[in-house]
Amino acid sequence: MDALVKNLMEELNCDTVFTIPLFGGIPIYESVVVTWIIMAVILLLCLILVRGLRVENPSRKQVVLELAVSKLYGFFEDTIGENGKAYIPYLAAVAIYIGIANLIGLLGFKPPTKDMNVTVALALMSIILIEAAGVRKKGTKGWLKSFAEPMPVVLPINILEIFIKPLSLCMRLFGNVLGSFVIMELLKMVVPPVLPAIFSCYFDIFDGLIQAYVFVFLTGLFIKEATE
Amino acid sequence: MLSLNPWDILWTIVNLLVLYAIFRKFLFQPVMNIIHEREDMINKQFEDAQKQQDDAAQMKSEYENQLKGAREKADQIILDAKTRAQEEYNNKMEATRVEADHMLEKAKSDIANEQEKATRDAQAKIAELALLAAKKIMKTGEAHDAGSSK
Repeated sequence: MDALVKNLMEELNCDTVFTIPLFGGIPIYESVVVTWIIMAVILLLCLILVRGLRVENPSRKQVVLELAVSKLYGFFEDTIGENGKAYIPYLAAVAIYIGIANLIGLLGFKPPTKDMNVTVALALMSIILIEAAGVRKKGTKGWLKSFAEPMPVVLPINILEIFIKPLSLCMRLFGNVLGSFVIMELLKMVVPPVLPAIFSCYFDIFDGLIQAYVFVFLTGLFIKEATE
Repeated sequence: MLSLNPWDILWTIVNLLVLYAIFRKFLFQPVMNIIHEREDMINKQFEDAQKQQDDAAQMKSEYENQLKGAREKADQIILDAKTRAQEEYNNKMEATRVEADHMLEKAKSDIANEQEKATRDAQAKIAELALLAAKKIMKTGEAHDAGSSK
């Protein structure tokens, strides 16, 4: 049992891969390196997929690509509303990133989303985007006023929401990834041969994608709320 | 990892921004550009088709009008021709009748002249005969007188 705990803790820990000798040493963590790998793969894929796009007589690859991109856009348009169209690319990028980050554990990498700092950063970006969208739509005055809506009594709750929203976003994602990881580790120990593979389909693949979906869906919903 | 580390958060934020830039620059923009270009092209084609259809409809109505005009004109021409033919016929008939009247008149006057002439001839003949007879009578009377006086 101690071995299991130790093993789990070790798996949970995010190693410092190397340190940049600047400002007294900037540590680069495993999650950041894995994110770089994801970014490199995405960049490569984008470059390959986008090559040779044509307006007329599109290739089958292009048709699939266009369909995927427009479906993604359409999905976010439904969620985020007419006013938030400008934020669709960011949400789509985050959705793809979280999706890949959750699934990359299958390839033997340590999922970046298992590092709470990554989910904190994602949630911070989301809340900044949400509030910025609100300010951009309503102006600073309108944005400040919107805290007292629909009635002044809810002011404290609305202010609290600034912290609650990112916290829930962050913890939901991190908790799900962590939880499914712990359950999978336990399953692997208790019923080793076939069963973990079946559960892995749910915990690693399904849950990972669902969490990516939930994260961007909620962010989109909040942006819609802020821009209405 | 459960502990928070500012550098890790900062790096992740930088990574996210770069990732967003990559997605935007290398995937969404090119693909959306293509989609919009195609939409524009299709819209333009639709507009062109609509325009052509309108043109065709207009031309059709023009041709129909022209055809209608031509038919009316043809009817008019035929009507005119009929009227003129009728007039011509009437004129001819009139002329013919006048001529016939003339000829009749002339024939009548000829006959009258002839009659008069015949009468005149007859009168002349009769006068001549009477003169002859008178002459003969006078001659006979002279002879008679001469005979008796002898």
